Amino acid sequence: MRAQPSRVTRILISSSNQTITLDPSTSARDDERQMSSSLNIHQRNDGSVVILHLSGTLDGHTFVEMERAMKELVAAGNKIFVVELSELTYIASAGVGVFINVQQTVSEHGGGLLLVDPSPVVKEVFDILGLQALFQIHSSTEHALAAAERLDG
Amino acid sequence: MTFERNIVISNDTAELAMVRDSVREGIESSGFPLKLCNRVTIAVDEAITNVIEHAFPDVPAGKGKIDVVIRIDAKRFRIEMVDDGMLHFDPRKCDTVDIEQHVSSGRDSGLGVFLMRRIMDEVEYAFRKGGRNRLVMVKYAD
Repeated sequence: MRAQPSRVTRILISSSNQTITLDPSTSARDDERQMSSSLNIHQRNDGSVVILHLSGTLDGHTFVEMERAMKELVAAGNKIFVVELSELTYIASAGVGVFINVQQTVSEHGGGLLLVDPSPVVKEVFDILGLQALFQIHSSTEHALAAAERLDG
Repeated sequence: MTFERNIVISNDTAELAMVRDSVREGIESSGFPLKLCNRVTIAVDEAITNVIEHAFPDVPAGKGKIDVVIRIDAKRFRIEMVDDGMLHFDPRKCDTVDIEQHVSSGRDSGLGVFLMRRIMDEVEYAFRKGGRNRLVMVKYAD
């Protein structure tokens, strides 16, 4: 069981018309202290495909919010995800674990988790873990969406 | 130039970013190869996460203490983590991970230990009953 964070990490989930701050009480001091440990998740949709743009860090602290967001999206019936990683500056095994679990869940229902353009640090973790065996990793969102259409079909 | 830093952190995963920043700053200022910076940062982050997760099962976040000593020169990176947790975490006793089988089966536990072992040259652990847990990791420049 992972330790629960004592504070809610600042997560912004924004859609085309809405931005939600899940921790509005975060003080300016906390903002400064957690500047390098915050995760932003921006969601948009392309048909039945959910596109998530991640920025910030996905570590042993912030993975809790990523896990919660993914569980809600899967529970709502979504099964194809394109995750943009170019602005994700760090990923720990806890974050990789969220991707593995989602991939395992949605692939059983004909879905998939397609990753796009990982930043150098994230790519290094993927390389060490050999995640190419599990995930489709695409160079652009357009390529990922084309592959997602094949999944959807 | 030798970089040395002593940090005291709590058993709160919110502390991870600060430790990562210290590791990066130390490597950048010590002459240790920059090409190893990401990998060493990853291994340290996973080690601290494991200590926080496993050493303090009944201690509220923020109430446990971990002493971190980082010493880096051009040839060697060394980090020592000493905690006052009740349980000990020994990465040497964790099963060896077959990563391909691991990820294809959808299991995510054990990835952190795999990263620590794969990246660092030395991972040493000492536990004294009634005492403190001590984890030391070393990475050489060559």
